[in-house]
Amino acid sequence: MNWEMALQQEGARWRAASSAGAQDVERLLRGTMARLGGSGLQAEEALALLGHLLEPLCGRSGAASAMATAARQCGGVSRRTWPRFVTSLSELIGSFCGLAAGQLVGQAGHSLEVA
Amino acid sequence: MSVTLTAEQLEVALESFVACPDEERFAVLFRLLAPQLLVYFRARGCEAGVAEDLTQEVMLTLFRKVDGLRDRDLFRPWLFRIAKNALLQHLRKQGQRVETVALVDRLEGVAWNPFAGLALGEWLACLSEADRELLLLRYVDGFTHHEIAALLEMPMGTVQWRVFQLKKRLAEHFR
Repeated sequence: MNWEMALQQEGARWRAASSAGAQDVERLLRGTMARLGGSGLQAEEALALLGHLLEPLCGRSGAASAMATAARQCGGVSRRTWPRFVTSLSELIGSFCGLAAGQLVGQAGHSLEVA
Repeated sequence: MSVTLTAEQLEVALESFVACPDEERFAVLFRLLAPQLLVYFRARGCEAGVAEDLTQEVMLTLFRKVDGLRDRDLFRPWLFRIAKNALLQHLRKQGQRVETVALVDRLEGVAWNPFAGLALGEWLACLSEADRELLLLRYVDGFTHHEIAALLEMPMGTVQWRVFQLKKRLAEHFR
């Protein structure tokens, strides 16, 4: 075996499999810009906004319960866990209120910049 | 060795940003470098969310401290030294013991093995932490010998020799 070539190929394969997509990079860029400008929402503000969106879909207690469950699943809500939180919440809402509602919540949540 | 960008692309973007460090030029640089930083952190066992957060931190440091860059030819080693320090700091916050400044010693505590089940993982597993880090820099992060020498602060000849010896050892081990 040519080890130089094998290592290069394996390295390239791993990079390709684990590389971030363009959308992820753009999301990170927006977040970084928000941090640079000192803008962006606090996690509590972002949660409140999502809550307003959820209440008409599944009621106040349903919204609170879904957000609490999603928060538990991702170990709390913070800037770092926000993308995972939104994904969990989107899946939960999707399973209770239908796929379209879940996608709506996912898109709204991922569009928020949490500082 | 090219990873996701050519040296020329990076040079142009960096020169442009250094000349006028505004957000638009920073965005160009960000799109080139963030994927590499993400790979760097993921390859060292960081979960996706942590890798993203550390990448943002490093890029923010770049924005604020680009004036401290003395030699533009050694930009990537400079940037990835910031990345290495950010990772060390993260691991310290996680409560992992830090007895030396060597990053490779810290990685033993990382629970997630990014290469599990892969040939690369099997190869890396039979090496010491220091040797593993060298191969990661060379074949996963795609650094040149020159860049690795600058990053690890050792002569380039030593880097070349060690990489050569590691390949030889792998060849003997997996004969």
